[in-house]
Amino acid sequence: MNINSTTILRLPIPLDQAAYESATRFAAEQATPSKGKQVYLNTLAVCAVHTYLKWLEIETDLTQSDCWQPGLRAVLDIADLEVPGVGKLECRPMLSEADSLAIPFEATQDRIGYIAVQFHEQLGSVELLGFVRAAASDTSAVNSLIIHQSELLSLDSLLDALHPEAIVNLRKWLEEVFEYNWREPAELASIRSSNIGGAKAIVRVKQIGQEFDGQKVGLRVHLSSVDTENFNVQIRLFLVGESSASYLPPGIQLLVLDENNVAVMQRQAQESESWIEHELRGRLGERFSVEIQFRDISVIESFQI
Amino acid sequence: MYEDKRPQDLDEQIGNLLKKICCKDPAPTPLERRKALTRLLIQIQRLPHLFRNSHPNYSHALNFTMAWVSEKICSDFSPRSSSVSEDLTRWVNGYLKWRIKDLYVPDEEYQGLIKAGFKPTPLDQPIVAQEGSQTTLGNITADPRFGGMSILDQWIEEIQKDEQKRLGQRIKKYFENDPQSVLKQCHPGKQSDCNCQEIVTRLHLSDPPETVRAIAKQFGINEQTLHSHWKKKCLPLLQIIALRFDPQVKEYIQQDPECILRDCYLPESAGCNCWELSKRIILSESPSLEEMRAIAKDLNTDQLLLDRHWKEKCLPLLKKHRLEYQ
Repeated sequence: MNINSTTILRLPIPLDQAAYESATRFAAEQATPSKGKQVYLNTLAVCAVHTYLKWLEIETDLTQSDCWQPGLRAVLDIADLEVPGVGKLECRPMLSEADSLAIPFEATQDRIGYIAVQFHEQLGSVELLGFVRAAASDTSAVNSLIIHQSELLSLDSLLDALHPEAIVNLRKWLEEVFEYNWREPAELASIRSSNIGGAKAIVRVKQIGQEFDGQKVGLRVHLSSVDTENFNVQIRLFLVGESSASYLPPGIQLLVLDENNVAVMQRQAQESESWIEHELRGRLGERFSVEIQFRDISVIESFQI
Repeated sequence: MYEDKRPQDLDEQIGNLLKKICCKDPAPTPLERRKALTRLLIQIQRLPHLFRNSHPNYSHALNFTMAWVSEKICSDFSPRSSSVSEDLTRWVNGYLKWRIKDLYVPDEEYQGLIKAGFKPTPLDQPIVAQEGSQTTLGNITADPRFGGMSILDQWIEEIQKDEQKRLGQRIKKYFENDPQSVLKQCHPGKQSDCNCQEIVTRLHLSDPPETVRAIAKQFGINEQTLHSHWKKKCLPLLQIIALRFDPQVKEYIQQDPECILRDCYLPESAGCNCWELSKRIILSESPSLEEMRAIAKDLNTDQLLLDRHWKEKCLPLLKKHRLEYQ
């Protein structure tokens, strides 16, 4: 599910002097003006993403970036940024008149994904526009990859990609590998019994740390495969047994968000409901989040199938 | 990262973000905190009364300020009045003002700008930037930071003129001439015309670059064969040649001042260390992929192990000592 340029929020990155100094030095080394311009913009794009990640205290290592090697940037059209322990991001400059990014095939090798960095006539500040995760097939792609602006996802999905540990990996559940806080239903005291069957279903529950109106709640995920590619997922918000009340706090909501954090399903607990749930079908690799919302409190859990 | 569908009060939006970022019980996960902080950094840069300034290095001051905000927002900022957005503006401006003042501390570069006709604007005066507005600083300098994207080509041509024997030119010439025929000799099977020299020059050094598809078609070779030849043979060769053109790397290998390269060796085989490998691969007469096989034979080691040691240990070490941009 994609977004268009009018709704996306861009993050302006004011660049520091060191960024311009590096870009100028690197551009001056190049054989031709057009190669110099490419290197100048690539360098600023990498510095912009480096700056953003520095603000967020996410470590990067420019020394391991190929574009920081004089010999390699002289030959290849690359703007890579190494995030230790995670992988390489490709930071591509996007000029103001362009509506797509062309990524040369050498810049698609072994990348986590591509970040679009918007440049304007004024070079004092650039904007981080969005992110696309690399597909496994990119590494063998023989031609440049075209990413249209409408395919760009928000910076949230960049952060998701940089926090692989924060996403509940449902595919691993099929191999009986579970995140430590997702337990067997029986382990969570007196969970109200479910009537959902299915031979190959996997059911796991997690107690939510946050209390809502003094009540403890949990999420239950019921995963069953339709075929090798497609899965049914039921997500239920329930009241944990030890709670004093018998019902969910009225008004508490359970939302399903797509990869752009846009709510695609929404349900609100009415008076005297002990659980509410959503049922969705997803393909292997698809991501979604579930948000529990009550007054000004919100808790989000992200999943990948 | 979307505009909220319900137009929300700015104070309420900022207040909610602060709650998400700074809440202690329960503390947000690093991912939740970073998502919320990103939104806050967007909001701050949109604050209508944020100090703006026409100094050419204003972005430098703002960059510093955003880094400071990210670090201090939970420890140093506490809203006092009824409007959290006004309090936040005051707090951010309080720091930004000093970073802008720093820009006006007379230094040589700045004096040069003044001489060239640059007029600083008075401080403490918010200049509300308009979308797409162009700051005209005249022709005080040809730097594209002030002159904009439209003068970029011309300026790059100028700065390149100042570099004698530019690295880019030397590398380009090396690939075009392939003086030791290292690249020419590297081709898939019997297809000697479709060799690494031909591939690298066409893919990376022609303007505009040719595509893998076009080259494959011209040589009557399968696209995937060409691609995997590029990746498995030409690219590693290119990486070695690139390092050989880097004087810093060569000097580092020659000296290995702290024995870092010497101390990085294959388990139980101190002779197989990064220093020996680097000397033979980077400092030798001609670059060659065959060198690894010869080294493996000389040192009586498995070539696959040696290859991996080079890629995973030695190459990162060689890159590591390069000057880092902070």
